[in-house]
Amino acid sequence: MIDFSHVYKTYPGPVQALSNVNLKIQKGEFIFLTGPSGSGKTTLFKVLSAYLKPSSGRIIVSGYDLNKIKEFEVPYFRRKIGVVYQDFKLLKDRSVFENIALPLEIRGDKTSYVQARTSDILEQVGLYFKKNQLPQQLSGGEQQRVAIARALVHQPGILIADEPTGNLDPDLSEEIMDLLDKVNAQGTTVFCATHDHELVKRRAKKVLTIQSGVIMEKVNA
Amino acid sequence: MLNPLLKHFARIWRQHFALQMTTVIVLSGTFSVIGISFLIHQNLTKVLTQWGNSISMSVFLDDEFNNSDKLISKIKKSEGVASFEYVSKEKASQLFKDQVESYIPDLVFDSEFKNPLPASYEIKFDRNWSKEKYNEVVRFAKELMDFKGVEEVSYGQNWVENYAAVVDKFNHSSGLLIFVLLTGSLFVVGNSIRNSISQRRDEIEILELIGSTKWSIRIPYIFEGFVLGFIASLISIIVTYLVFNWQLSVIESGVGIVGGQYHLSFLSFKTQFIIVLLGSIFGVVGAYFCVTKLSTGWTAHQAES
Repeated sequence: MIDFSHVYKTYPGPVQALSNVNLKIQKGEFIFLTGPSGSGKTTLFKVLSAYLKPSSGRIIVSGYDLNKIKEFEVPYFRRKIGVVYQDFKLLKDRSVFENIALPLEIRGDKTSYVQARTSDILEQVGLYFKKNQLPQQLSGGEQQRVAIARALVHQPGILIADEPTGNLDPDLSEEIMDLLDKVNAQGTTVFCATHDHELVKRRAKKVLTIQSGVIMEKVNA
Repeated sequence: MLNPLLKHFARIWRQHFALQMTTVIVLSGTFSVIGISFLIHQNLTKVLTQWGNSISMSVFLDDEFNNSDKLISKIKKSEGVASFEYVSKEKASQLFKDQVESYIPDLVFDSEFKNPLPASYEIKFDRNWSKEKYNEVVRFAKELMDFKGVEEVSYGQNWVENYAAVVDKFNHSSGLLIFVLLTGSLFVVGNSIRNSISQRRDEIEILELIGSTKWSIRIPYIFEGFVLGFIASLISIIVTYLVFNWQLSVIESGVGIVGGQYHLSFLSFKTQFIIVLLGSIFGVVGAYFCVTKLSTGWTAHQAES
Protein backbone atom coordinates (compact mmCIF):
# COMPACT_ATOMS: atom_id res chain seq x y z
CA MET A 1 0.00 0.00 0.00
CA ILE A 2 2.85 2.37 0.95
CA ASP A 3 6.35 1.57 -0.25
CA PHE A 4 9.33 3.89 0.29
CA SER A 5 12.59 2.79 -1.28
CA HIS A 6 15.82 4.78 -0.75
CA VAL A 7 13.93 8.07 -0.46
CA TYR A 8 15.85 11.30 0.04
CA LYS A 9 14.55 14.81 0.43
CA THR A 10 16.93 17.74 0.53
CA TYR A 11 15.84 21.33 1.13
CA PRO A 12 17.88 24.28 -0.15
CA GLY A 13 20.73 25.00 2.20
CA PRO A 14 21.25 22.10 1.80
CA VAL A 15 19.30 20.49 4.63
CA GLN A 16 18.86 16.76 4.53
CA ALA A 17 15.26 16.24 5.69
CA LEU A 18 14.91 12.59 4.67
CA SER A 19 17.82 10.24 4.22
CA ASN A 20 17.57 6.80 2.68
CA VAL A 21 14.07 6.07 3.97
CA ASN A 22 12.92 2.53 3.32
CA LEU A 23 9.45 1.69 4.47
CA LYS A 24 6.64 -0.73 3.70
CA ILE A 25 3.15 -0.44 5.13
CA GLN A 26 0.54 -3.08 4.38
CA LYS A 27 -3.18 -2.59 3.92
CA GLY A 28 -5.10 -2.31 7.20
CA GLU A 29 -2.06 -1.53 9.39
CA PHE A 30 -1.98 1.18 12.06
CA ILE A 31 1.46 2.69 12.39
CA PHE A 32 2.73 5.48 14.59
CA LEU A 33 5.63 7.64 13.45
CA THR A 34 7.39 9.31 16.33
CA GLY A 35 10.37 11.55 16.61
CA PRO A 36 11.40 14.92 18.00
CA SER A 37 10.52 18.21 16.32
CA GLY A 38 12.55 18.74 13.16
CA SER A 39 13.31 15.04 12.78
CA GLY A 40 11.58 14.76 9.40
CA LYS A 41 8.09 13.53 10.36
CA THR A 42 6.25 16.31 8.59
CA THR A 43 8.48 16.11 5.53
CA LEU A 44 7.85 12.37 5.31
CA PHE A 45 4.09 13.00 5.44
CA LYS A 46 4.27 15.81 2.90
CA VAL A 47 6.14 13.59 0.49
CA LEU A 48 3.66 10.82 1.17
CA SER A 49 0.69 13.06 0.36
CA ALA A 50 2.27 14.51 -2.82
CA TYR A 51 2.67 17.86 -1.11
CA LEU A 52 6.40 17.75 -1.75
CA LYS A 53 8.39 15.93 -4.39
CA PRO A 54 11.16 13.67 -3.12
CA SER A 55 14.68 14.55 -4.25
CA SER A 56 15.32 10.94 -5.14
CA GLY A 57 14.14 7.43 -4.43
CA ARG A 58 10.92 5.65 -5.17
CA ILE A 59 7.60 6.07 -3.39
CA ILE A 60 4.61 3.95 -4.33
CA VAL A 61 1.32 4.83 -2.67
CA SER A 62 -1.95 3.23 -3.75
CA GLY A 63 -0.38 2.34 -7.08
CA TYR A 64 1.01 5.82 -7.81
CA ASP A 65 4.76 6.35 -8.17
CA LEU A 66 5.07 9.76 -6.49
CA ASN A 67 8.46 10.51 -7.99
CA LYS A 68 7.10 10.10 -11.51
CA ILE A 69 3.56 11.29 -10.93
CA LYS A 70 2.34 13.73 -13.60
CA GLU A 71 1.01 17.09 -12.52
CA PHE A 72 -2.52 16.30 -13.69
CA GLU A 73 -2.51 13.01 -11.76
CA VAL A 74 -1.83 14.63 -8.39
CA PRO A 75 -5.50 15.55 -7.64
CA TYR A 76 -6.64 12.02 -8.50
CA PHE A 77 -3.96 10.54 -6.26
CA ARG A 78 -5.02 12.83 -3.41
CA ARG A 79 -8.57 11.54 -3.74
CA LYS A 80 -7.26 8.07 -2.89
CA ILE A 81 -5.86 9.16 0.45
CA GLY A 82 -7.16 11.10 3.43
CA VAL A 83 -4.92 13.56 5.22
CA VAL A 84 -5.42 15.12 8.65
CA TYR A 85 -3.29 18.14 9.50
CA GLN A 86 -2.21 19.47 12.85
CA ASP A 87 -3.71 22.87 12.00
CA PHE A 88 -6.93 21.22 10.70
CA LYS A 89 -6.94 23.16 7.40
CA LEU A 90 -10.69 23.79 7.43
CA LEU A 91 -12.39 26.43 5.29
CA LYS A 92 -13.39 29.14 7.73
CA ASP A 93 -16.30 30.52 5.70
CA ARG A 94 -18.04 27.16 5.23
CA SER A 95 -20.09 25.16 7.65
CA VAL A 96 -18.99 21.89 9.20
CA PHE A 97 -21.24 20.04 6.75
CA GLU A 98 -19.86 21.92 3.72
CA ASN A 99 -16.27 21.30 4.84
CA ILE A 100 -16.82 17.58 5.20
CA ALA A 101 -18.78 17.32 1.94
CA LEU A 102 -15.98 18.97 -0.10
CA PRO A 103 -14.06 15.82 -1.17
CA LEU A 104 -17.29 14.27 -2.43
CA GLU A 105 -18.31 17.42 -4.30
CA ILE A 106 -14.84 17.66 -5.81
CA ARG A 107 -15.17 14.07 -6.97
CA GLY A 108 -18.48 15.01 -8.59
CA ASP A 109 -20.72 12.70 -6.55
CA LYS A 110 -24.49 13.12 -6.75
CA THR A 111 -26.02 15.56 -4.31
CA SER A 112 -28.20 12.89 -2.70
CA TYR A 113 -25.13 10.70 -2.05
CA VAL A 114 -23.14 13.68 -0.76
CA GLN A 115 -25.94 14.51 1.69
CA ALA A 116 -26.33 10.94 2.90
CA ARG A 117 -22.63 10.13 3.18
CA THR A 118 -21.74 13.42 4.89
CA SER A 119 -24.57 12.99 7.39
CA ASP A 120 -23.38 9.44 8.05
CA ILE A 121 -19.77 10.46 8.75
CA LEU A 122 -20.98 13.39 10.89
CA GLU A 123 -22.89 10.84 13.01
CA GLN A 124 -19.75 8.69 13.27
CA VAL A 125 -17.62 11.55 14.61
CA GLY A 126 -20.48 12.72 16.84
CA LEU A 127 -20.88 16.16 15.28
CA TYR A 128 -24.15 15.86 13.41
CA PHE A 129 -25.82 18.33 15.75
CA LYS A 130 -23.15 20.92 14.88
CA LYS A 131 -23.31 20.45 11.13
CA ASN A 132 -24.39 24.03 10.40
CA GLN A 133 -21.80 25.71 12.58
CA LEU A 134 -18.66 27.36 11.30
CA PRO A 135 -15.29 25.82 12.26
CA GLN A 136 -14.34 28.72 14.53
CA GLN A 137 -17.47 28.06 16.59
CA LEU A 138 -16.10 24.62 17.52
CA SER A 139 -13.50 23.55 20.09
CA GLY A 140 -10.07 22.34 18.96
CA GLY A 141 -11.06 18.69 19.43
CA GLU A 142 -14.25 19.19 17.46
CA GLN A 143 -12.37 20.91 14.65
CA GLN A 144 -9.95 18.00 14.52
CA ARG A 145 -12.89 15.58 14.34
CA VAL A 146 -14.26 17.60 11.43
CA ALA A 147 -10.85 17.35 9.74
CA ILE A 148 -10.82 13.58 10.29
CA ALA A 149 -14.38 13.29 8.98
CA ARG A 150 -13.36 15.22 5.86
CA ALA A 151 -10.35 12.95 5.39
CA LEU A 152 -12.55 9.87 5.61
CA VAL A 153 -15.76 10.90 3.90
CA HIS A 154 -14.62 9.69 0.48
CA GLN A 155 -13.57 6.34 2.00
CA PRO A 156 -9.84 6.44 1.20
CA GLY A 157 -7.67 3.36 1.63
CA ILE A 158 -5.10 5.30 3.64
CA LEU A 159 -5.47 7.89 6.35
CA ILE A 160 -2.39 10.00 6.99
CA ALA A 161 -2.54 12.04 10.20
CA ASP A 162 0.21 14.55 10.90
CA GLU A 163 0.24 15.31 14.62
CA PRO A 164 -3.55 15.15 14.85
CA THR A 165 -3.40 15.67 18.61
CA GLY A 166 -0.64 18.27 18.56
CA ASN A 167 -2.95 21.12 19.53
CA LEU A 168 -5.23 19.18 21.84
CA ASP A 169 -5.34 18.46 25.59
CA PRO A 170 -4.85 14.81 26.79
CA ASP A 171 -8.57 14.01 27.03
CA LEU A 172 -9.29 15.28 23.54
CA SER A 173 -6.17 13.49 22.26
CA GLU A 174 -7.51 10.19 23.56
CA GLU A 175 -10.84 10.91 21.95
CA ILE A 176 -9.17 11.53 18.57
CA MET A 177 -7.05 8.39 18.91
CA ASP A 178 -10.16 6.34 19.69
CA LEU A 179 -11.66 7.69 16.52
CA LEU A 180 -8.57 6.70 14.49
CA ASP A 181 -8.71 3.24 16.07
CA LYS A 182 -12.31 2.93 14.99
CA VAL A 183 -11.42 3.97 11.45
CA ASN A 184 -8.59 1.42 11.36
CA ALA A 185 -10.91 -1.29 12.63
CA GLN A 186 -13.09 -0.60 9.58
CA GLY A 187 -10.14 -1.51 7.32
CA THR A 188 -8.47 1.82 6.64
CA THR A 189 -4.67 1.92 6.83
CA VAL A 190 -3.68 4.59 9.37
CA PHE A 191 -0.28 6.27 9.44
CA CYS A 192 -0.10 8.71 12.30
CA ALA A 193 2.74 11.03 13.26
CA THR A 194 3.02 12.16 16.86
CA HIS A 195 5.67 13.12 19.39
CA ASP A 196 3.40 12.19 22.30
CA HIS A 197 5.18 9.06 23.61
CA GLU A 198 2.66 8.46 26.39
CA LEU A 199 -0.14 8.31 23.91
CA VAL A 200 1.80 5.84 21.77
CA LYS A 201 2.58 3.65 24.75
CA ARG A 202 -1.09 3.30 25.63
CA ARG A 203 -1.90 1.92 22.15
CA ALA A 204 -0.57 -1.46 21.09
CA LYS A 205 0.51 -0.44 17.61
CA LYS A 206 3.55 -0.71 15.37
CA VAL A 207 5.83 2.31 15.93
CA LEU A 208 8.47 3.81 13.67
CA THR A 209 10.95 6.35 14.97
CA ILE A 210 12.60 8.94 12.82
CA GLN A 211 15.61 11.03 13.72
CA SER A 212 17.48 13.50 11.48
CA GLY A 213 15.58 12.16 8.52
CA VAL A 214 16.52 8.55 9.12
CA ILE A 215 14.10 5.83 10.22
CA MET A 216 15.98 4.70 13.32
CA GLU A 217 14.06 1.75 14.61
CA LYS A 218 10.99 -0.29 14.04
CA VAL A 219 9.29 -1.43 17.19
CA ASN A 220 6.26 -3.61 17.52
CA ALA A 221 4.63 -2.28 20.63
CA MET B 1 -22.43 23.16 -12.19
CA LEU B 2 -23.82 26.69 -11.95
CA ASN B 3 -24.78 26.47 -8.29
CA PRO B 4 -21.23 26.14 -6.87
CA LEU B 5 -20.07 28.94 -9.19
CA LEU B 6 -22.83 31.26 -8.00
CA LYS B 7 -22.06 30.31 -4.40
CA HIS B 8 -18.40 31.16 -5.01
CA PHE B 9 -19.35 34.50 -6.55
CA ALA B 10 -21.73 35.32 -3.67
CA ARG B 11 -19.00 34.48 -1.14
CA ILE B 12 -16.49 36.72 -2.94
CA TRP B 13 -19.02 39.58 -3.01
CA ARG B 14 -19.82 39.16 0.68
CA GLN B 15 -16.18 39.12 1.70
CA HIS B 16 -14.74 41.72 -0.69
CA PHE B 17 -17.74 43.93 -1.39
CA ALA B 18 -15.79 47.20 -1.66
CA LEU B 19 -13.25 45.76 -4.10
CA GLN B 20 -15.87 44.07 -6.25
CA MET B 21 -18.01 47.22 -6.30
CA THR B 22 -15.03 49.36 -7.29
CA THR B 23 -14.21 46.94 -10.10
CA VAL B 24 -17.77 47.03 -11.40
CA ILE B 25 -17.83 50.84 -11.28
CA VAL B 26 -14.51 51.21 -13.12
CA LEU B 27 -15.51 48.59 -15.72
CA SER B 28 -18.95 50.19 -16.16
CA GLY B 29 -17.26 53.54 -16.81
CA THR B 30 -14.92 51.93 -19.33
CA PHE B 31 -17.70 50.13 -21.18
CA SER B 32 -19.89 53.27 -21.05
CA VAL B 33 -17.21 55.18 -22.97
CA ILE B 34 -17.11 52.32 -25.45
CA GLY B 35 -20.93 52.36 -25.68
CA ILE B 36 -20.98 56.10 -26.27
CA SER B 37 -18.30 55.72 -28.96
CA PHE B 38 -20.45 53.09 -30.67
CA LEU B 39 -23.44 55.42 -30.31
CA ILE B 40 -21.65 58.36 -31.96
CA HIS B 41 -20.27 56.12 -34.70
CA GLN B 42 -23.71 54.65 -35.38
CA ASN B 43 -25.36 58.07 -35.67
CA LEU B 44 -22.61 59.68 -37.74
CA THR B 45 -22.85 56.77 -40.16
CA LYS B 46 -26.61 57.03 -40.12
CA VAL B 47 -26.44 60.66 -41.23
CA LEU B 48 -24.22 59.60 -44.14
CA THR B 49 -26.63 56.78 -45.01
CA GLN B 50 -29.58 59.12 -44.88
CA TRP B 51 -27.70 61.51 -47.15
CA GLY B 52 -26.96 58.58 -49.43
CA ASN B 53 -30.66 57.74 -49.57
CA SER B 54 -31.56 61.27 -50.65
CA ILE B 55 -28.57 61.89 -52.86
CA SER B 56 -29.20 64.06 -55.94
CA MET B 57 -26.98 65.61 -58.55
CA SER B 58 -27.26 68.82 -60.55
CA VAL B 59 -25.64 68.84 -63.99
CA PHE B 60 -25.33 72.50 -65.05
CA LEU B 61 -25.21 73.20 -68.77
CA ASP B 62 -23.77 76.16 -70.57
CA ASP B 63 -25.87 78.19 -72.98
CA GLU B 64 -24.39 76.51 -76.06
CA PHE B 65 -25.16 72.97 -74.88
CA ASN B 66 -26.61 70.91 -77.72
CA ASN B 67 -25.64 67.38 -76.72
CA SER B 68 -28.77 66.43 -74.80
CA ASP B 69 -29.47 63.11 -76.53
CA LYS B 70 -26.08 61.67 -75.63
CA LEU B 71 -26.24 63.06 -72.10
CA ILE B 72 -29.74 61.64 -71.50
CA SER B 73 -28.61 58.31 -72.87
CA LYS B 74 -25.61 58.33 -70.48
CA ILE B 75 -27.81 59.21 -67.49
CA LYS B 76 -30.37 56.53 -68.38
CA LYS B 77 -27.70 53.87 -68.71
CA SER B 78 -26.14 54.69 -65.37
CA GLU B 79 -26.92 52.25 -62.52
CA GLY B 80 -28.76 53.60 -59.52
CA VAL B 81 -30.41 56.56 -61.23
CA ALA B 82 -33.98 56.70 -59.94
CA SER B 83 -35.18 59.67 -61.98
CA PHE B 84 -33.97 62.76 -63.75
CA GLU B 85 -35.53 65.99 -64.87
CA TYR B 86 -34.53 68.78 -67.25
CA VAL B 87 -34.69 72.25 -65.64
CA SER B 88 -34.57 74.98 -68.24
CA LYS B 89 -33.04 78.42 -67.63
CA GLU B 90 -36.55 79.86 -67.30
CA LYS B 91 -37.70 77.23 -64.84
CA ALA B 92 -34.51 77.66 -62.80
CA SER B 93 -35.14 81.41 -62.73
CA GLN B 94 -38.71 80.87 -61.60
CA LEU B 95 -37.67 78.41 -58.90
CA PHE B 96 -35.06 80.87 -57.68
CA LYS B 97 -37.61 83.70 -57.55
CA ASP B 98 -40.05 81.47 -55.64
CA GLN B 99 -37.38 80.64 -53.10
CA VAL B 100 -36.24 84.22 -52.47
CA GLU B 101 -39.67 85.82 -52.79
CA SER B 102 -40.09 86.33 -49.07
CA TYR B 103 -36.63 87.93 -48.70
CA ILE B 104 -36.57 90.05 -51.90
CA PRO B 105 -40.23 90.59 -52.98
CA ASP B 106 -39.26 93.18 -55.62
CA LEU B 107 -37.18 90.68 -57.54
CA VAL B 108 -40.27 88.78 -58.71
CA PHE B 109 -41.56 91.80 -60.63
CA ASP B 110 -38.19 93.19 -61.72
CA SER B 111 -38.40 93.33 -65.49
CA GLU B 112 -34.70 94.15 -65.75
CA PHE B 113 -33.68 90.96 -63.92
CA LYS B 114 -31.24 89.15 -66.19
CA ASN B 115 -31.38 85.42 -65.67
CA PRO B 116 -27.83 84.24 -64.65
CA LEU B 117 -28.95 80.69 -63.92
CA PRO B 118 -27.96 77.89 -66.26
CA ALA B 119 -30.18 75.08 -67.50
CA SER B 120 -29.56 71.78 -65.71
CA TYR B 121 -30.44 68.14 -65.35
CA GLU B 122 -31.53 67.17 -61.79
CA ILE B 123 -30.72 63.51 -61.13
CA LYS B 124 -32.00 61.48 -58.18
CA PHE B 125 -30.39 58.20 -57.11
CA ASP B 126 -31.93 55.18 -55.40
CA ARG B 127 -28.83 53.89 -53.63
CA ASN B 128 -28.06 53.41 -49.98
CA TRP B 129 -24.92 55.01 -48.65
CA SER B 130 -21.65 53.25 -48.72
CA LYS B 131 -18.17 54.42 -49.47
CA GLU B 132 -18.03 52.29 -52.62
CA LYS B 133 -21.30 53.68 -53.90
CA TYR B 134 -20.21 57.21 -53.09
CA ASN B 135 -17.12 56.56 -55.21
CA GLU B 136 -19.42 55.47 -58.06
CA VAL B 137 -21.26 58.79 -57.78
CA VAL B 138 -17.94 60.64 -57.93
CA ARG B 139 -16.90 58.63 -61.01
CA PHE B 140 -20.25 59.26 -62.66
CA ALA B 141 -19.95 63.00 -62.00
CA LYS B 142 -16.51 63.03 -63.62
CA GLU B 143 -17.86 61.24 -66.69
CA LEU B 144 -20.64 63.80 -67.00
CA MET B 145 -18.11 66.63 -66.69
CA ASP B 146 -16.36 65.27 -69.79
CA PHE B 147 -19.44 66.05 -71.91
CA LYS B 148 -19.02 69.12 -74.05
CA GLY B 149 -21.33 71.84 -72.80
CA VAL B 150 -21.50 70.58 -69.22
CA GLU B 151 -20.35 73.46 -67.06
CA GLU B 152 -20.42 71.94 -63.59
CA VAL B 153 -21.68 68.89 -61.74
CA SER B 154 -22.77 69.39 -58.15
CA TYR B 155 -23.90 66.83 -55.59
CA GLY B 156 -22.90 68.48 -52.29
CA GLN B 157 -19.49 66.89 -52.61
CA ASN B 158 -17.64 69.35 -50.38
CA TRP B 159 -20.01 68.86 -47.47
CA VAL B 160 -20.13 65.10 -47.87
CA GLU B 161 -16.39 64.72 -48.31
CA ASN B 162 -15.67 66.84 -45.24
CA TYR B 163 -18.28 64.99 -43.25
CA ALA B 164 -17.03 61.60 -44.41
CA ALA B 165 -13.49 62.65 -43.45
CA VAL B 166 -14.73 63.57 -39.96
CA VAL B 167 -16.49 60.21 -39.69
CA ASP B 168 -13.34 58.42 -40.84
CA LYS B 169 -11.19 60.26 -38.33
CA PHE B 170 -13.69 59.57 -35.57
CA ASN B 171 -13.79 55.90 -36.48
CA HIS B 172 -10.02 55.62 -36.37
CA SER B 173 -9.59 57.54 -33.12
CA SER B 174 -12.51 55.81 -31.39
CA GLY B 175 -11.17 52.45 -32.59
CA LEU B 176 -7.87 53.27 -30.90
CA LEU B 177 -9.67 54.49 -27.78
CA ILE B 178 -11.77 51.33 -27.61
CA PHE B 179 -8.66 49.20 -27.99
CA VAL B 180 -6.94 51.05 -25.13
CA LEU B 181 -10.03 50.83 -22.93
CA LEU B 182 -10.53 47.14 -23.58
CA THR B 183 -6.88 46.48 -22.80
CA GLY B 184 -7.32 48.50 -19.61
CA SER B 185 -10.41 46.48 -18.72
CA LEU B 186 -8.28 43.33 -18.87
CA PHE B 187 -6.02 44.78 -16.18
CA VAL B 188 -8.97 45.95 -14.06
CA VAL B 189 -10.57 42.50 -14.10
CA GLY B 190 -7.17 40.86 -13.67
CA ASN B 191 -6.38 43.01 -10.65
CA SER B 192 -9.69 42.17 -9.01
CA ILE B 193 -9.22 38.45 -9.62
CA ARG B 194 -5.63 38.60 -8.41
CA ASN B 195 -6.89 40.15 -5.19
CA SER B 196 -9.55 37.48 -4.79
CA ILE B 197 -6.93 34.81 -5.33
CA SER B 198 -4.41 36.25 -2.90
CA GLN B 199 -7.09 36.60 -0.21
CA ARG B 200 -8.22 33.02 -0.77
CA ARG B 201 -4.77 31.45 -1.01
CA ASP B 202 -5.45 29.22 2.02
CA GLU B 203 -8.70 27.98 0.51
CA ILE B 204 -6.97 27.19 -2.78
CA GLU B 205 -4.27 25.26 -0.95
CA ILE B 206 -6.85 23.24 0.98
CA LEU B 207 -8.82 22.50 -2.19
CA GLU B 208 -5.64 21.26 -3.84
CA LEU B 209 -4.79 19.09 -0.87
CA ILE B 210 -8.14 17.34 -0.92
CA GLY B 211 -8.00 16.60 -4.64
CA SER B 212 -9.43 19.52 -6.62
CA THR B 213 -8.25 19.57 -10.20
CA LYS B 214 -6.56 22.57 -11.74
CA TRP B 215 -9.65 23.64 -13.63
CA SER B 216 -12.13 23.06 -10.83
CA ILE B 217 -10.11 25.63 -8.87
CA ARG B 218 -9.67 28.02 -11.78
CA ILE B 219 -13.19 28.01 -13.22
CA PRO B 220 -14.87 29.85 -10.30
CA TYR B 221 -12.39 32.73 -10.74
CA ILE B 222 -12.96 32.80 -14.51
CA PHE B 223 -16.70 32.80 -13.82
CA GLU B 224 -16.14 35.70 -11.43
CA GLY B 225 -14.41 37.63 -14.26
CA PHE B 226 -17.27 36.76 -16.59
CA VAL B 227 -19.92 38.02 -14.16
CA LEU B 228 -17.96 41.22 -13.45
CA GLY B 229 -17.67 41.92 -17.19
CA PHE B 230 -21.30 40.97 -17.82
CA ILE B 231 -22.72 43.14 -15.03
CA ALA B 232 -20.46 46.09 -15.92
CA SER B 233 -21.39 45.95 -19.61
CA LEU B 234 -25.11 45.77 -18.76
CA ILE B 235 -24.73 48.81 -16.51
CA SER B 236 -22.81 50.59 -19.28
CA ILE B 237 -25.78 50.08 -21.65
CA ILE B 238 -28.04 51.74 -19.09
CA VAL B 239 -25.53 54.58 -18.56
CA THR B 240 -25.21 55.08 -22.34
CA TYR B 241 -29.00 55.19 -22.65
CA LEU B 242 -29.27 57.80 -19.87
CA VAL B 243 -26.52 59.92 -21.45
CA PHE B 244 -28.23 59.57 -24.86
CA ASN B 245 -31.61 60.70 -23.53
CA TRP B 246 -30.05 63.51 -21.55
CA GLN B 247 -28.16 64.88 -24.54
CA LEU B 248 -30.70 63.99 -27.24
CA SER B 249 -32.29 67.40 -27.70
CA VAL B 250 -28.92 69.18 -27.58
CA ILE B 251 -27.39 66.81 -30.14
CA GLU B 252 -30.42 66.82 -32.43
CA SER B 253 -30.51 70.58 -32.56
CA GLY B 254 -26.79 70.50 -33.39
CA VAL B 255 -27.29 67.95 -36.14
CA GLY B 256 -30.36 69.90 -37.26
CA ILE B 257 -28.04 72.72 -38.35
CA VAL B 258 -26.59 70.31 -40.87
CA GLY B 259 -29.90 68.85 -41.92
CA GLY B 260 -33.18 68.80 -40.04
CA GLN B 261 -34.27 65.48 -41.51
CA TYR B 262 -31.73 63.51 -39.48
CA HIS B 263 -32.97 61.72 -36.38
CA LEU B 264 -30.63 60.20 -33.84
CA SER B 265 -31.26 56.72 -32.55
CA PHE B 266 -30.01 54.67 -29.59
CA LEU B 267 -27.73 51.68 -30.02
CA SER B 268 -29.28 48.85 -32.00
CA PHE B 269 -30.01 45.59 -30.19
CA LYS B 270 -27.15 44.01 -32.12
CA THR B 271 -24.69 46.65 -30.89
CA GLN B 272 -25.96 46.32 -27.31
CA PHE B 273 -25.45 42.57 -27.58
CA ILE B 274 -21.91 43.12 -28.93
CA ILE B 275 -21.06 45.40 -25.97
CA VAL B 276 -22.35 42.85 -23.44
CA LEU B 277 -20.51 40.09 -25.29
CA LEU B 278 -17.29 42.14 -25.35
CA GLY B 279 -17.65 42.90 -21.64
CA SER B 280 -18.20 39.25 -20.79
CA ILE B 281 -15.36 38.02 -23.03
CA PHE B 282 -12.89 40.56 -21.67
CA GLY B 283 -13.96 39.63 -18.14
CA VAL B 284 -13.22 36.00 -18.91
CA VAL B 285 -9.91 36.76 -20.66
CA GLY B 286 -8.74 39.13 -17.87
CA ALA B 287 -9.50 36.47 -15.28
CA TYR B 288 -8.00 33.69 -17.40
CA PHE B 289 -4.60 35.41 -17.54
CA CYS B 290 -4.59 35.56 -13.73
CA VAL B 291 -5.55 31.97 -13.10
CA THR B 292 -3.34 30.20 -15.64
CA LYS B 293 -0.56 29.89 -13.07
CA LEU B 294 -2.89 29.60 -10.11
CA SER B 295 -2.98 25.87 -9.60
CA THR B 296 -0.40 23.41 -10.77
CA GLY B 297 -1.29 20.67 -8.33
CA TRP B 298 1.89 21.47 -6.42
CA THR B 299 0.97 25.04 -5.48
CA ALA B 300 0.67 24.02 -1.87
CA HIS B 301 4.34 23.15 -1.95
CA GLN B 302 5.21 26.34 -3.83
CA ALA B 303 3.28 28.49 -1.36
CA GLU B 304 5.26 27.00 1.49
CA SER B 305 8.72 27.02 -0.06
